[in-house]
Amino acid sequence: MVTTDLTLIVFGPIVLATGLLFMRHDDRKGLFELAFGVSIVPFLYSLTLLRTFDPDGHAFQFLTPDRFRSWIVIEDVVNIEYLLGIDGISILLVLLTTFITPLVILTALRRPRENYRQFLLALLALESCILGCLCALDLFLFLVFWTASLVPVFFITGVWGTGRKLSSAVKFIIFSLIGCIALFASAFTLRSLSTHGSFNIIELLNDPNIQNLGPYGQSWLFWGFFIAFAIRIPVFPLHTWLPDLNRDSPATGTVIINTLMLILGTFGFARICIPLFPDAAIAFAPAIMVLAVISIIYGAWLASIQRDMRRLIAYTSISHMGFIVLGLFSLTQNGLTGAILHMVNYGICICGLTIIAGILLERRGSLKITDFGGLIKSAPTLGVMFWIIAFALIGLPGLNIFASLFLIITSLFEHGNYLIGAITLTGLIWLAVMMLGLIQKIMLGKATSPAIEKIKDLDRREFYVLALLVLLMFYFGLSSPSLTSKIEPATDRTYYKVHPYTPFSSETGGDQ
Amino acid sequence: MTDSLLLIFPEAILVLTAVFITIKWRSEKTRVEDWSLALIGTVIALVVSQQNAAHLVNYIILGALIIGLLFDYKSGLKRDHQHTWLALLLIGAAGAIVISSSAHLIPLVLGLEIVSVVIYTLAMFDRTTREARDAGIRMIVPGLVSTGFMLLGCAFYYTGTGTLWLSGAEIAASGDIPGSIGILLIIAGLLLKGCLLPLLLWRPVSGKYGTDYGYAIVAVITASATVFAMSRLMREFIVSGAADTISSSVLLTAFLMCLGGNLLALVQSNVKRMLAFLAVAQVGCMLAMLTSFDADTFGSMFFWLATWAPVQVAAFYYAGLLEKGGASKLSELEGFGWRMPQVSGIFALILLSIAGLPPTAGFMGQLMVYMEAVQSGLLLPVLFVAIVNLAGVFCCLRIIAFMYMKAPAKDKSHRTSPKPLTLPARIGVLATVIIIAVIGVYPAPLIFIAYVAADIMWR
Repeated sequence: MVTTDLTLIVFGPIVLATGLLFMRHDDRKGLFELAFGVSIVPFLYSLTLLRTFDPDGHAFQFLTPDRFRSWIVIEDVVNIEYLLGIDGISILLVLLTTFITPLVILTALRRPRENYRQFLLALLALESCILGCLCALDLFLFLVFWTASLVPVFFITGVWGTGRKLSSAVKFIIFSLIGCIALFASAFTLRSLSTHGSFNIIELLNDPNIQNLGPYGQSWLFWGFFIAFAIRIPVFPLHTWLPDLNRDSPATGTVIINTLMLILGTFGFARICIPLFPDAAIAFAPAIMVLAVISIIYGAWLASIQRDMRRLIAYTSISHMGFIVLGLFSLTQNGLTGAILHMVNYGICICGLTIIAGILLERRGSLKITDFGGLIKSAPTLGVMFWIIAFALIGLPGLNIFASLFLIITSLFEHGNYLIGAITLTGLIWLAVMMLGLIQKIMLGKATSPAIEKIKDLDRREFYVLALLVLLMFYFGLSSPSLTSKIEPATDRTYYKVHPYTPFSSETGGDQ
Repeated sequence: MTDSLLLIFPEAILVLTAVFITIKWRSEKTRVEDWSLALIGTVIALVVSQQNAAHLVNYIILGALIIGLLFDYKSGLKRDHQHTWLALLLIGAAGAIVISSSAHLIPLVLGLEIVSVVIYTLAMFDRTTREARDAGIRMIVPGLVSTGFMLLGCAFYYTGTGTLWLSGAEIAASGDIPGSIGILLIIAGLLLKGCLLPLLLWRPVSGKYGTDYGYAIVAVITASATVFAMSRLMREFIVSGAADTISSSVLLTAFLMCLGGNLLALVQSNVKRMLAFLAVAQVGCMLAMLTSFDADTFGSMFFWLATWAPVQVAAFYYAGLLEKGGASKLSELEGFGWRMPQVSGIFALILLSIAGLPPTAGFMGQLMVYMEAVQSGLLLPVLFVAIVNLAGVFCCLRIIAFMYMKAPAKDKSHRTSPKPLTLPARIGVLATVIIIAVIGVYPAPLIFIAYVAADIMWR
């Protein structure tokens, strides 16, 4: 299917957001309404994409028409295309991005108090960059969006953050730029090795020069991409920027960073690393799985000893991203599907948790866990929401994360990775203990100070935002087969790319 | 004969305009007329530039000069100084064009000397202050050393080849020792005088004449011309098969410039000095890519150069504006982003472009150069340069961070609000934003022009 729909979705937020520049900077309500309206448009549009998306169709759909593809083209010299498209791997992530952004804008109604217009612009620019990464099918275009996404995050943290915001923002950008260098070097080398000197991912997937490099030949390219994506996820030991960034970013910025920015790293594995370099992926999968398990255990352990809720969320994220990496590099059908599904499920849950953290920060002025206790009495609705989200995050059956974790962990046992499976389960238990402890410390018991008793419950806006997320958790938890049916054809193609001699199932389709 | 004359038309027009401005001054013309004459002369020189390999660099030099002139419509100089200032800029541009288009060593040396004289004069324009006199002397002494390199190089070159045409490099590099020494000395002199000295030794002395902005313009266009001249030299070495002899020396020099420029930028507290060192680092990066000896890499480098020069000029202008607002040092920039939103906003965009972050022309330029260099087998140099350039990115982000992410200092007594921009300056701003933002998103036409220029040079 050839269409310009994705262009509208990707550039819609930033182009429409320029309208903010023509509004008065102190017209807070007007700015909010415009930004919210701007963010709703791509969401509605992506819903129509989901409706018309054919899971069993060609690998990539909604491709940019040929007449718009020439971006930087000089015959026989440079061939860089403006090519967007989605498949089962990216469709749900696009939907997640366009769904989360309006929620983030809704939660940002009262804060930040200063330079609100610029803040909304930065948020919408970030949305465009993330959507660009998810939809780009030209590696050069992907690099542009990938690097561009650093700029809004740098400003969001540096300008509207708190505490040691500057050092956190700089740390983030230095880490990310190191990753970018690795990414650029690999991408350019890949182009130089390809048959037609192209960045087109669809062509590269079938390029015999790349496929015939063998594990050793592919390994340099693979690790270049891997480092960049591992920094973004982040995988242990490249994770140190995330807790600081979480601690010092504004609450609303943290939502989008935790929910969407991190997912881009795992998406990169699924889109580029594994299908483009299948031999290297097989060769290095055991080592990467070990790293993923370390991330799970290490993240859960450090989360359990944090005193600041934002840092706790950051380590929880590291742990959960470890599950996704584990699923991807299990290189099994269930593992791959589970990992993609977990990106969506984790995104919804961590979004809820981060929004609650923002609400608590606004009410209490602190996110030290010891500053809370007995919150359920003064804010029962908030408490219930918190409980549900926490239970979802530890994989309670009936809620969304259970389905994806189940797929990931069973894929490990199915393929004989018993030790890794067992250690992963230990990590999950650790996460559960940590999360239950958090519930106990924040929600239960006696109020630690009179200020806790005065904390207001959710207002209507906050309630709707969180209720929507909770409803999705239940819906995705109970109807995960409908989601996996959209993902599976794409992950099956990746699977058959990695294991080409596996008997092929005609139901899943195999054309790249 | 006519063709040969046409080739020097741009230089001739610039020099004639400079002379005209100087003579007309005696007849009580207004400052606006002087400025208009300079602008018209530059535009005419741009229009009459010939369609050859050098035309792109003419456009780059003259385009940067036009943007520089647009910004400085009312420079704050007194009338009896402004005409000299304008004449110096025009002559400097003429010298830069001579450097970039020379196929013979004598005009190359001549062009360098013309630019050097302009730079010395601009550096010590405010001769009543000690700082300005120091700045001038600091330029003169090492400048003479580099002139010595050039002349000695020419002598060796002539001894080895029996000619002063650059195409004689073929003979010089084929194992002939005097010729090879000559080439190395010429390259050393060219880089020292064209790129390093003007930017490395620069002490911005605004003084009461504020001529450091003019100095920056001439330094930037000279650096652009030098890079182009180097690319011509390298091209000759490819023809002669002497590329291997020279590439390691050029690569080492480029690495040192890149490393030194970035590291020195890190320790600067003065914003203009920091920008100057970053410029040296980026010129080093371009030179490193010349060792690819590949037409496409040269094309991508010309593309970067085409966006680099005007952006650098704009950067120095905006640094000057902030200085007028009371902030010449990094620490004095605190909170400027919110106090002077328009000036700071555009300066931030310029800095993002210099840092090479999207969606800016600087990002596209660097990305294209790296891409082509990797394609031609320069993966390790690209990695080195990219890693070292992280320091430069850090410097640019540091300036932005000071403007936007630090609370303003309590003592604001030294700060003043700059005057609103004039109409030509606004046009200059618009042109800069278009160059940075539009080329950052849709660079294809300019890339095509740059690749064609490289292709013409390659034939």
